Amino acid sequence: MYSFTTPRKKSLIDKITWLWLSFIVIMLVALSAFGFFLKYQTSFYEEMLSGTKLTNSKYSSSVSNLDKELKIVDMKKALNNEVRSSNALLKASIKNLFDLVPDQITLNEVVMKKDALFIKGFTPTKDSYKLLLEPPLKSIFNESKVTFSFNGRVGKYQFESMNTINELLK
Amino acid sequence: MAKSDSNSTIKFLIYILLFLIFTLFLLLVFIIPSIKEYKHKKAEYEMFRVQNESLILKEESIKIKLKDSMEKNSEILSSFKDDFNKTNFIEFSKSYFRDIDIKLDDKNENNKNVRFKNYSFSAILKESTPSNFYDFIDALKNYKNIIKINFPIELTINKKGMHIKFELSVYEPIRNK
Repeated sequence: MYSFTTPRKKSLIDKITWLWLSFIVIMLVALSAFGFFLKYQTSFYEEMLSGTKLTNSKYSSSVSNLDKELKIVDMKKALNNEVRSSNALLKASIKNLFDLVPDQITLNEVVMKKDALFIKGFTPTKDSYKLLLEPPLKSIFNESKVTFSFNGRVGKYQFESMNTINELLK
Repeated sequence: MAKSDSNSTIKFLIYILLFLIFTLFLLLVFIIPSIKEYKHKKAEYEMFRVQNESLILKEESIKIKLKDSMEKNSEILSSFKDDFNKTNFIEFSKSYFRDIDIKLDDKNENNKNVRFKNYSFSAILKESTPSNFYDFIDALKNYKNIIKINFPIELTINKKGMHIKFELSVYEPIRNK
């Protein structure tokens, strides 16, 4: 067999096919690389997120503890102020009572309650009590009852006065 | 010649189709879900990061507030820590009274969790006027414990002088034994 031309080498896959296949493979590799990069970044954020969640819960509990402490300090301050003002009020009440008593009248016993006052003492006359002590007591208390008994040894009337604030009449 | 041209066109179309199929498959199965997940995680992280920053700021501001409040009220706070010492209190009261007697009320024993304990206080005023009692009330402000005077208050004149009797509520810290 003779031929005028020598046979050409013919490859199984031609140049164009090579070109396309390599193009497809490059694209596959590039896309996969991008996908793995995204996976890596996602796991990086996941790790950061779990760390942030931990610190968040730590800070949250710290904030709530500090808040509690602050509230306790405020409560103690308020309680101290309340006690101070209550004592001051009590002092003022006693002072006011003694300011009410005129010089002619002397007191032997005073029992002061939140809503009642018992006083026992001497008055030169019943009228002195009724004119000088009874009106201010009546202006403070709803009910004011007094009993007199003459004490010959002292030469004065002994009085016992019970004064009450009736809550219903307030 | 014409047959060869049509062959290469078909080949070209097949390659294009293959390329598109692979690309679409990767995009739909791998890339798009990955992007979605990435965006979601990033947004979640950002949210927690911002929250974290605000918590740090909040913690700092409360710390400053607390420190400031504790410094301003240091005396008050120490009065809540100290245990009530009867002997010390009697010594303190001696400036205003004599024949002092302080007794813890029995009713306190029933409730161990009560922070205020009641004491009955009786004494003779140093002077025969209530001014010592007023001074005593004023001095209580600076005493190392929180002490409240309660009604009823009984004042009686006897041979010894002006006798006073009242109830004290003393704040005592609860100690966990």
